[in-house]
Amino acid sequence: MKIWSIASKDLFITLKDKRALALIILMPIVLILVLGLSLNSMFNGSESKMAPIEIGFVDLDGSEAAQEIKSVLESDSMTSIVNVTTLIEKEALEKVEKGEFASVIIVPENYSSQMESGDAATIQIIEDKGNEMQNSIVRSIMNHYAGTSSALLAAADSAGTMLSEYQIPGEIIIPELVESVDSKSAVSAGNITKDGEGLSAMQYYSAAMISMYILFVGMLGTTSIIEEREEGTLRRLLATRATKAEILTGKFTGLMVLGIIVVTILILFTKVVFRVEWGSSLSGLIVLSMAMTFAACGLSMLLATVFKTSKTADIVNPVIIMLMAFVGGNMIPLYEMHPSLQNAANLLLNNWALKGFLNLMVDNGFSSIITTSIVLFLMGAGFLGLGISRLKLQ
Amino acid sequence: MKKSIYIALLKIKQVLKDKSSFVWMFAAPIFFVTVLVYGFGGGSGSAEQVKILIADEDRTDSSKQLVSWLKDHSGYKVEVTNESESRKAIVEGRAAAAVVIQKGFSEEILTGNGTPVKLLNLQNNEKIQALQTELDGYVNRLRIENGLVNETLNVISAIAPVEEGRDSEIKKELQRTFSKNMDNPRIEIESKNSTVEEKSGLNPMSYTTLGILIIFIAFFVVNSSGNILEDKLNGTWRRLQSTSVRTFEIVLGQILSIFVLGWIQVAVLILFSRFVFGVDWGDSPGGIILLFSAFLLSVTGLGVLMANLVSNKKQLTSLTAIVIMPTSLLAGCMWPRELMPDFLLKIADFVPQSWVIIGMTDLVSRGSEISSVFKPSMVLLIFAAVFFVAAIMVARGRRYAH
Repeated sequence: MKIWSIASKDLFITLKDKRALALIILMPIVLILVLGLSLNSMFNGSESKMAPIEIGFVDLDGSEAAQEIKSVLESDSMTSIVNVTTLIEKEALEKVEKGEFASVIIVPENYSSQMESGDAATIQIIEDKGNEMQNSIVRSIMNHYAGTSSALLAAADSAGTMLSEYQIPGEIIIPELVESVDSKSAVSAGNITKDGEGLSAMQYYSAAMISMYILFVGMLGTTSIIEEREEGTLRRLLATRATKAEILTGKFTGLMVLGIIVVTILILFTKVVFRVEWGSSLSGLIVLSMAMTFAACGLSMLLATVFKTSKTADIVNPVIIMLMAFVGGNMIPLYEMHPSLQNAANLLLNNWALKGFLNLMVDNGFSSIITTSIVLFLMGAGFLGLGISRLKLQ
Repeated sequence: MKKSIYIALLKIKQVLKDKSSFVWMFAAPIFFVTVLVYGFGGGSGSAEQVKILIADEDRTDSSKQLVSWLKDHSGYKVEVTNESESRKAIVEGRAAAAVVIQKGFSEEILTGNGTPVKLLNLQNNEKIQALQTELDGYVNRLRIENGLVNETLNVISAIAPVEEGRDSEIKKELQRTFSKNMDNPRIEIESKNSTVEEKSGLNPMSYTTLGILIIFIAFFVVNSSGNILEDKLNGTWRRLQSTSVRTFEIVLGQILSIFVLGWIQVAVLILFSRFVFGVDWGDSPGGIILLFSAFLLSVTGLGVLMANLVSNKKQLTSLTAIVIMPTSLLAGCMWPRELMPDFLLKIADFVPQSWVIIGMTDLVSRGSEISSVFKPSMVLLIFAAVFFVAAIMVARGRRYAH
């Protein structure tokens, strides 16, 4: 009963504090919106929005083989990716230096003769260094062309060796082979979700921001305990019959309830307004959210023992949270990170929570978050135990 | 004027003595730059191997060939697993992509039906697109090899019936010579840069550093404007007014102190990143001075405006977080602006941070002269003017309300 009175008092105070609510509810929503809209091109389902890459084509060979390269680049499937302009070498090089072309493809004058004589023929690409993203795409298109053409030539050579006793040239089989090549891509990309749509930036950052802002909810709890200690209200509570454990459990419960309210609001808001798909496992979502909130509130109890004054807490806590967010993958996806930092991320509750939410979003199901939830509960229990045993009320 | 300078000097002394401002001004940004530059490789990444997973559910000769080709590929670091494991691993950031070779792969690549290879990935960047193209290239190679065997056998059997057992011998021989021929491809691609010069493009390290600096400078400057508010609440103003100092001189002194403190921060951070991390800041110190001065004025203006909108320092701290963080992200402090859609970039034009980034990109990446930052600096000064005027209007409005 005492526990609940303390909890509801704390909750009531926070819910009346517009400043606190703006920080833990409005702020993550604004960030999800900005991050989700800005980084959509880095996630799936938006290739078509990119404008075609401007490239130059220089034919020094004047052969049929060179024209074939050009016609591949101008084929229907390529027009949305590259825009080819044919021009003389000098002009093309000038344009790539100015950055007007991402790259220039040059077919050297001995290209076809080398190909006929059986030597290796070379296609040159001159690239604008300032445009690494686009010219790496052009490079992979050209590598693909060279690979497939080489394979056709290699096949002709093999057939030629085999058919030499019948005095039939190997090239006879090429027309049939050409038809089988590049008929359709055999690869479907971005099937990380069950519907094959891929994970959107909005989804990723909804999960990331909720698992980051739960730490800010914890921060409110830390500050509240320290402030009450400074003002002496905790001491005065001891004058009633409440024990230390009851007071702290009360504060913890109030924070837990606040955390659950915030997480529920954020999940519902992103689902309804931003149309974020949280996966089909509602039970998974509930268990994971509870585990995450428990861990974050536990951490806040521990942090309350670390800081002496509420002023230091207010300065250092946001730095800790931002650092946890960066290392935990809440800002930049984890696989880009150095392996040693990835291991460090396993110590962070926000990282576990993020991984859990993403697993649910791609419908890996309840079973995928069992370990995650257990880890989060254990973290929370550890933090809470340490916090309560070491916390001084005066 | 002299009195303003005294007030400014006093303020600067107070702030520099305070340990917490030291944390926010220098320690935190340097710490973050270090974590980002070293933790995320700061762009050296392109030469590194991309970590991918493979799940082979087909388990035929063709699929095994594909797996062993990927394992030998110098661009990828490969680990073999199953589909559900790889789904988890991708989500948890343990690999960039997973290649799932589905059942029926060996038949479907020949008929051209369906997409028997699934690529699982979280982000669709150019590395993933390159992987997709390479996979299609290898599928082509498998198709060609198969066609080679079939067509050659067709040609031979058209001349004379092939004896029992000899066809598998021919098949083996063709596959052997084909893969031998493929070791020395007949067509090669040779790529090189258009310029021999080192400089081109704001490298990821300078970009990351710049972004972090801008975020922390904005935070610090706006929060310092809170001092004006604090002094007002504590009654310091009233006491000062009892001397011969005028309100105008007090405000000027405060703004001057924020501006100077901001510059101390900018200078320390730029010099530190230049000499410790070797970040390239271009060849135009004049340009940097002009651009950052204009930027500091505009965020000071923003800070003063925000300080006038709230009633205590705590409110200002939360308002700062809510305003500075999203606008900095919008300006492109954490990622290249090219990634962002057009409509967001248009919105970002109304954010001061955008214009420092635009100006610095010109100075550093193109090695431009000071003249290239005239326009961004002008825009920032206009921001400053608008903010200050708005602040005065809000302050007056409040006075009448009382």
